[in-house]
Amino acid sequence: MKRNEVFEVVEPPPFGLERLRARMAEQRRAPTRWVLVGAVATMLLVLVFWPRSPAVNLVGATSSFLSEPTRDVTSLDPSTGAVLELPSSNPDVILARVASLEP
Amino acid sequence: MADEGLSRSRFEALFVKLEKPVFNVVYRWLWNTEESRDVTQEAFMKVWNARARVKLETVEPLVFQSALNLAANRLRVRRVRRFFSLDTAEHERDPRQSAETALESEQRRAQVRRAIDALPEKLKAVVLLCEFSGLSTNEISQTLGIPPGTVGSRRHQAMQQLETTLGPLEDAS
Repeated sequence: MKRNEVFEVVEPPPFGLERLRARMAEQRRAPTRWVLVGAVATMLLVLVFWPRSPAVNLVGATSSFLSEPTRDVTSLDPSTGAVLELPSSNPDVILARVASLEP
Repeated sequence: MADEGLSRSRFEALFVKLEKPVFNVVYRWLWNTEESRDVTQEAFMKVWNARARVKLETVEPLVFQSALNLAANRLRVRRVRRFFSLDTAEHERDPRQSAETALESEQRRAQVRRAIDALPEKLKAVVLLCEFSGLSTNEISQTLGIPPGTVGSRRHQAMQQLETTLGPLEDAS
């Protein structure tokens, strides 16, 4: 067998340099992509861990208004009795019960 | 000159000069055109990414070293895949050849391939670099991290083993 048959020179596929340039360009774009990914990830973290205002305790607030009544129950519309003022422990808050009447 | 570093134009010139030799060395490892092209490109990209630390006077051995490591790794992965039957051996045929010549050269190539594959990796690396790289003995010794004398002895051993398998190798006239 001939030596050049054993060590036959094989041609690489064409456009090797173009392919390499494309890879280099791709690599240059990669940092920009990572900056975007980082920014999105940071935004998500901020949204997840953003300190929220404490939840409103409706039950506690209502019970504090209803406890220790300062006034008796009063009908605001004595003719029908449809609107009743309920006792409230907070003088700045007026609680009213509104009833709908049968025609 | 050596202090100027590996600029983009130098790197591209290096690719133009070494693409074929590197591809031919890698091809004898993988025997697959697409994979050999990918490994060749990858080897150059590794050198490009390390350009800040690369010395111009050693860049050529470095490209071959990188390509050999990548090819050997890919071959190991392929063997594991074959072991688990995830991959099958591929046989490439030159589409330009007629059926008879294709068969003949196919048989010859298969014989060469078996002979080269049968070489231990240490011998194979030396003989392929000697035949295709265009590197000097000192540069090959640098690429493989072995003394220059060992390059000579391994090349001799590899050629002997190839001749045992393929018969005496005649120089092309």
